[in-house]
Amino acid sequence: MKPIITIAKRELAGFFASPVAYVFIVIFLLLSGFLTFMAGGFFERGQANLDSFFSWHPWLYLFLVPAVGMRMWSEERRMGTIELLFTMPVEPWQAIIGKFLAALAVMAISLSLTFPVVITVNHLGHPDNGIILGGYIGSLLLAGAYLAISSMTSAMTRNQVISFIVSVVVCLFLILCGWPPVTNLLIHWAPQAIVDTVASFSVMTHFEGIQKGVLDTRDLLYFVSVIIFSLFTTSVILRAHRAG
Amino acid sequence: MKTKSSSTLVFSTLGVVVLFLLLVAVNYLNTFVKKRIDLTHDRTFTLSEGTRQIVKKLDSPVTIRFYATQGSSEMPTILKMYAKRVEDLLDEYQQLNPKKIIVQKLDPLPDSDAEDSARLDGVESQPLPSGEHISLGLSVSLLDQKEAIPFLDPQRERQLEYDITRAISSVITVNKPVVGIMSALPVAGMAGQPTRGIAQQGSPPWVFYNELKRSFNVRNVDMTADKIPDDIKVLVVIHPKSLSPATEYAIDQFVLRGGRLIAFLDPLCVLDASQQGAMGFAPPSNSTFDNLLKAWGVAFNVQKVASDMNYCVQTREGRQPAVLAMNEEAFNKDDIVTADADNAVLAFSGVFSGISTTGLKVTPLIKTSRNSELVDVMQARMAGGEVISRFHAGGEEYPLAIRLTGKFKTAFPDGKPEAAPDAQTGKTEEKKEEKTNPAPLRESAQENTVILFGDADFIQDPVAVNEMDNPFGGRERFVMPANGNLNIAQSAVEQMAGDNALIALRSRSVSERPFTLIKQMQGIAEASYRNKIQELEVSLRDTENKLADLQQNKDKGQKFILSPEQQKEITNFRKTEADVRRQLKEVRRNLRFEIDSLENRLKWFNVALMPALVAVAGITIGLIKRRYAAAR
Repeated sequence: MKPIITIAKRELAGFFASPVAYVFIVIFLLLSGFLTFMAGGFFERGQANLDSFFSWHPWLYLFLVPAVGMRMWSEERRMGTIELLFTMPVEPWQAIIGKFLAALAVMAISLSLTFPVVITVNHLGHPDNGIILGGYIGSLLLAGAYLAISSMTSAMTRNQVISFIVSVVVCLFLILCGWPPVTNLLIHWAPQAIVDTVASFSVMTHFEGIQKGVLDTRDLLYFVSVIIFSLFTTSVILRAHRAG
Repeated sequence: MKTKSSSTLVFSTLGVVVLFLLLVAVNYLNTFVKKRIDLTHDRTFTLSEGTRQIVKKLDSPVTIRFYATQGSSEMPTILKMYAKRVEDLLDEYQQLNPKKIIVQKLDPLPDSDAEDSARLDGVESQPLPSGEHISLGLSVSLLDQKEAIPFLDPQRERQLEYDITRAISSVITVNKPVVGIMSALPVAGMAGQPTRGIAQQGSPPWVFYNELKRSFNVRNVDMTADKIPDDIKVLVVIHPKSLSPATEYAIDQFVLRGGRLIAFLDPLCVLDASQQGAMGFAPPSNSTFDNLLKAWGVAFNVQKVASDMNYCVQTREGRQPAVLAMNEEAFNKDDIVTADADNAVLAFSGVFSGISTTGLKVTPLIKTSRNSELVDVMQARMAGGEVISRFHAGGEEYPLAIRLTGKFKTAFPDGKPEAAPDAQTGKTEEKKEEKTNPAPLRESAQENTVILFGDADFIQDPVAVNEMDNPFGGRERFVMPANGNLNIAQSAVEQMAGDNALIALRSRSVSERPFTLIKQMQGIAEASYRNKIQELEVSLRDTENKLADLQQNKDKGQKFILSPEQQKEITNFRKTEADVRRQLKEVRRNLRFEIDSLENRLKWFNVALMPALVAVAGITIGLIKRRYAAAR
């Protein structure tokens, strides 16, 4: 446990030592604010809820999260510091989890800095704060899932740009795989059962489920599964690179 | 060596694939576990206590067949998402009592067994605008008792739990509940008979009566009854005109023993045909419960009807302010009976008032808008125009229908009242049954509920239904509800006749949570705006009157030429008019201005403030570090 925390702290300090973290947070806050109030029609809807805030997150994270995650392993591989990392008295999986947690902490900090919008909506009316809590939990899980996928893609390549692009594509697939135009395409060359299974991989159904204010084990397990799978695959890839 | 090769195996591509399949399997298995934490304030996703009670005490298995078209291209997204939510809810029911609730999920594809089953169950496919047919319905059955919800309307989502629980409750009841109807009006129809030489026409049973007969055992209860039969579960009293104390006592005891009462009282029952006797102009017939209402702490004024300028109907003769066509704002959305009511017509309805002093909870079910007032019955019968010109909004929302809940106390503390002396013999009847009757109840043992409506015309055919010729050319005329009246009345009877647990089932609020602060600001600004309008109108009227006066005092010869005074007056009038209009525009702009500036401030606060703070923090830290590094 302790090595994980050490690595996480080191990574987190690294984030905030450079402009990376600040730029990310500022852009995230600006974009989410703009999307909520200008594009999302927060006032026009006239309802005291944060639907117009949370509904953008899957798309917002789609581009911003890979930007944070792309350097997780590509950087280390490019600079050759990976070998150095693994000579330390630390298991690879601890390093992976540590780095993941550090990046997730940056996400969490960004999310928590959106508290003005919660204050606003409570000032204007009487929202269901239970639903808002659910919204934040779902959003963090979503960010975690995207982050884990980014970690996986960044382990694949030394090039950060490739990592970014592949990560975006994978996350996009996860968003769209439940979308009727996509499922209709798949129906032509796969049985219904497979198509339904693929559709159930969609991030949207599970995200929207938590957004409603219900913490369903099915949705929670989904996000945890994505994270476990991606981090495990990260370790497989890193091992393969080390060996070969 | 061994550990190295096993870990190589685990961490290989094979390992990845295995883990993937494992996770898919775990997730799939988990779909059968429906554990969830409901964070919502209204517990929207948890089954309510009433449902739990009914489902847990089932002793025979109930089958719920859920029909939903699955094909992803035909089903519109809204219906598909709603179907998923219905499915989730049905699974909750099953979890409550897995042995006694069987849920079957079927896709009624054309020519499939499922389609036949759907038809047998009464779940018909619905045509879409595209021409496709889809099904979304369910049926609840126990042996040969069946109850169907032919189409699950997403707009009725809030009542979904109630609908399903009610269907379950009705299939487990072997006998149809007995509903008694007591009325001075010919609800069950009347045979024609000549009276004093003028033939009194017979009348068919009311549509309301016929509809009730489809679901219940309907019995007539005499207006002079002194005891309500024990097997009557719901008593519907319609226009109890000239109610004797003995009968009122019977109703009192009925309520105290747990019987469910729905009463339609009326200060002015326009459709009481028996009033138009040979005498010609008859006094208005009204009805109320003198003693009962007093005991329950509510008042019903039979001298006044409600007139409402927001809801008044427009007829050929002009506006009728006492005939009200209510829209959905008039109904209590939290009560099952009026939850999905969106229109109703009440003609010359009375209002209820008073906060119950005896601890009963008074819930208004239907109310007027604030733009309403109480008008004398006699006045209301006159042409509407007079009432309108004298209209002055009281600013109160008057309840036209209420529900009383709680423990009721008797209205007759001295027991059964003396029977009214026989009109002809002047003697009172002997009370032989005194000894054999049970002791009078003084208070209800458990909580009970009573629904009172202020209008008896509400459920009569001329108000509630439209008749039209049979489109298929038969002799029978088709009747269609003209508004939500029958629906509301029937919901009330159904709810009262159902299991006690159903009464408590509230309609789930997919609640409206508006920006109360902004609404308040709008209200305040509108109030001041309203004052300005009144000022304007007063000044306009003044100037107009002055102008009219001037015109009257002119010489006859100067009919078409304006005198200098008149001209001056007209220019002044025009100037004042323009001035006040300008002021109005300013007020309107100010009204929006406050709200707009609030919104702008909030936008800046949210979009720009925090990023700016973070940026400043980042730059500051960067500068500090640089100085620190430079110092070194």
